[in-house]
Amino acid sequence: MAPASALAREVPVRVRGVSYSYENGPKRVLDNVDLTLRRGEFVVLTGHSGAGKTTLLTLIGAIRSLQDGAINVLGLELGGRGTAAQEEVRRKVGFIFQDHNLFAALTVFRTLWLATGLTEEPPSREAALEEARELLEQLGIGQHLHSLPRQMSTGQKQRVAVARALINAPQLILGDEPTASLDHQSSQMVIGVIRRHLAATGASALVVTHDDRIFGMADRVLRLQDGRLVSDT
Amino acid sequence: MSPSIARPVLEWFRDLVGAGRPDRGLGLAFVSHNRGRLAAATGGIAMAVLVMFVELGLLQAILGSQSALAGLIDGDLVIMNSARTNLHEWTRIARIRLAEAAAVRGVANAMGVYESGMLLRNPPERRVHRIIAFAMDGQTQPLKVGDPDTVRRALSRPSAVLFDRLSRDIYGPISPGRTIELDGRSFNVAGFARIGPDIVMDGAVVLSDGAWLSADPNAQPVMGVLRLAPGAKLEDVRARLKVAMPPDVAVMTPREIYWREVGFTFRSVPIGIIFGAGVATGAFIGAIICYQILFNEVVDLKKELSTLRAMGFGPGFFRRLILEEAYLLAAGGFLIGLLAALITYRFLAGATGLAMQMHAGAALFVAVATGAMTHLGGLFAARHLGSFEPAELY
Ligand SMILES: Nc1ncnc2c1ncn2[C@@H]1O[C@H](COP(=O)(O)OP(=O)(O)O)[C@@H](O)[C@H]1O
Ligand SMILES: [Mg+2]
Repeated sequence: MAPASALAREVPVRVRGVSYSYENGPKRVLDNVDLTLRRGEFVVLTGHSGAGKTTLLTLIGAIRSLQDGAINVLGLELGGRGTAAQEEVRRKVGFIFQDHNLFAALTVFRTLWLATGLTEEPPSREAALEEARELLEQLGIGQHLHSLPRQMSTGQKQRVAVARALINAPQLILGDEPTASLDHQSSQMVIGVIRRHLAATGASALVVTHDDRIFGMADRVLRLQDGRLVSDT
Repeated sequence: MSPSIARPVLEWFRDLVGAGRPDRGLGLAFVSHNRGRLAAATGGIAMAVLVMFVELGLLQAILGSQSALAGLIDGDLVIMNSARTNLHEWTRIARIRLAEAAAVRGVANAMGVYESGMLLRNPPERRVHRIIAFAMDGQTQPLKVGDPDTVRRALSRPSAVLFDRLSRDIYGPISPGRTIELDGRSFNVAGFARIGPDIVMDGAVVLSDGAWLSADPNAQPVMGVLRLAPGAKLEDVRARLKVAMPPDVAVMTPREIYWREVGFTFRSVPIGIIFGAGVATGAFIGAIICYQILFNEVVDLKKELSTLRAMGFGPGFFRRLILEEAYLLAAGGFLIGLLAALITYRFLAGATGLAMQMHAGAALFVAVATGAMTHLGGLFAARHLGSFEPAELY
């Protein structure tokens, strides 16, 4: 199936006619959304609070099950709850959660090493240690390799979450406000690391943010409004 | 251990604790993170382990002490009244059976053992206490009740008795040189025997068969202990005895008597059921405790576990994580419970006079039961993991 896989390579995310409503929610949070992400693209998703950005991102990341429409991620067609495709997409996507969601019991390195266990051929502990050190260096938290979450500030934890999403060199990065708790300089640093990863590997990124200084670094800016996507640029 | 075995064992252990694998060995980190809960969890499991050990220990001690007499028999075969279904019942055989058995080809020696309850008075105390009295020939000694020389010397005198040093201390101080009364007759304590009390008898004395028969010339033995002639085959002799003896005489080996006694105690007295139920209850409580702990763990870590699921870890990973935690708690709980049990055994042995011993078999049984109960608790707790969408972590 050469054409299909070639398509998947060039279009890592294809969202068609996706609608979503919460059981106890009043209206449709997403209303017939279409979205395509091309290889190597860095796309920013914005919109007012409660617009449905997180809902859309979690649907693409396969951590929320589809209700209506179709989503193809990295060549895998996402379906309902508990399908094998869901788990595979989760493994292949680097997801940065709105909250850092670190593990209180695990050090930074243990967290990153754990993440490498999701790949088909996990690196040795030593190789993982090298990779982790380098990545944390780039993110400006190299001194925290063996720290526990409670020994770090919110901004530092947020950057560990970014490192966790990047350690397996994913083909797709989904970031839910990854710079929300960072100052401007750190935000620039994190976005810079993500951009360099895209440039080096041809991966794509869809990042939710309110920070208009980041808009300028993006290839495209999309806005969610009343459950519909409107293009900004 | 040879290196060829050591390597796979080491690797198995490394794999078990997760060294070298990124997605293994997290149980230790998670389980030890919350010290308070760790203490409560291991304490709870240790409690269940202790309950199982105590129930099992008492059961074993009672079965062992009830059958202890069988272990004292120093012979190859025993003849008893076939109506005597257990050793605490004194259905006797006619004394003539001893001579008849001795006449069977292959039997070298047939020795009578007499047994009865007596009332012991330990002057100057006025009260009497019931005690079990054994009588046998001090030269041949069909029961091994102590140092053979002491026993031989003591039983050569008709008015001498050996006092069971393991008797419960209700009889007051009794030591060699003292004079005690048995059923109103005075006896001189010539030394100590080692028999041990059980749930029926509190203590024992041993006297010579001569003294026994002089008090009651018509006394009948409770059993005859037979020793075989050199070269005689046990099964051949047994077959000949069966022919020679009337049908109301049973022929058994001491080992058969021992196991028949264990079986009888287990069946007839409700202790088998009571203690068996106690062990099962301990295991059940342990499983529930373990489930509760691990379920709380799952609830408390819901956000972290959801994150792990969102990252792409599958059901196998979570089952292993929870089971890793379960086994660590089980191991900790077992060791603490074992220690507590050893201390409790000493205390109970002192209080009851029963031989409370930690047997390897019992320890293995409790270890397996602990592993099984935590495994079960872990599996049930792990079922809750699949019940929510990872996005619910938001
Ligand atoms: N679990 C939920 N149950 C019910 N309503 C929800 C739930 N999660 C989000 N919502 C609602 O759906 C809408 C979109 O939420 P979300 O996707 O988180 O928006 P955003 O990330 O853009 O702020 C909001 O109105 C929010 O209140
Ligand atoms: Mg949001």
